[in-house]
Amino acid sequence: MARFLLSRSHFAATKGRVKFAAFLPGPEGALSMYAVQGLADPAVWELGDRWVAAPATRTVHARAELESRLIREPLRIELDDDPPRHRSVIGWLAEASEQQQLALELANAARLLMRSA
Amino acid sequence: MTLALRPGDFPSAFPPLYDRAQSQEGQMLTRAWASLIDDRSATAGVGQALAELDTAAGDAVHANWDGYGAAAVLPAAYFQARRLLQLLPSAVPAPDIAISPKGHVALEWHGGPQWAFSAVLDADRNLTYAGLFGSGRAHGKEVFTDEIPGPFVATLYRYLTGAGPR
Repeated sequence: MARFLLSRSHFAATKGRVKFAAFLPGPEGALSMYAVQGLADPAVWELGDRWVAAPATRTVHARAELESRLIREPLRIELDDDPPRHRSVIGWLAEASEQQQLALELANAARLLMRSA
Repeated sequence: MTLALRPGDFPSAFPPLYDRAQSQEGQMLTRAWASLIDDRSATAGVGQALAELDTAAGDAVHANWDGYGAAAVLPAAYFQARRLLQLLPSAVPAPDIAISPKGHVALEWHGGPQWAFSAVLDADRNLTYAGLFGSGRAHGKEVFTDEIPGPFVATLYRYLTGAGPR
């Protein structure tokens, strides 16, 4: 599973680390990710360019990758394929601090991949 | 790491942020406090953190800056974060800074795998925090007005003084 990062504030390149804010749920209560298993690296970046960066008129600087098995209760993955390969991580607890705790755990388990220039 | 302050000492170490002084003496104290904050902002760690805050906020001034429908950074959250950064003791390392999808400001201290502490400041003076301490977890929510809340300080202190990886 990949989360495309359009803001440089969501990762620390020199530390090779994704920040927890990148894994907080959006205003609608879900965390958008993409299923990228089986895709070649250029195809993964293309997915981010087309479905995340282009609609926002922004650039994908990096991506966070996370094995789906690490997304655990109470969180779960909803397969909606809208856009293609899109997944929603749902099941976030109501309290902001609980959401923050879960996001911190996801970021801790994630791997940062920088896009080469 | 040794800290000069214990958690119980921390909140009372700082005078009120929201000044209600009417007397001449009170106003003099207010000016002295503002000068102290300015001096503190000029130190390397705080200056770096404030610059990082400005960069992060500048990148999030328009909605959907993250490509997933994020709200633009909220000015009140930005100013709350500035205030907190200026008040943290110099023994506390500068945090990494980001903007959250709701337009709040997120601070993060990372000591290694399974050892991290985070804070989020919103526009309603709420300060939420969460930490990973090996197999331990801690999270909570406080109001940040006049003083840095004690439970937040205690949890930050746990992060700074714990036996976790660095």
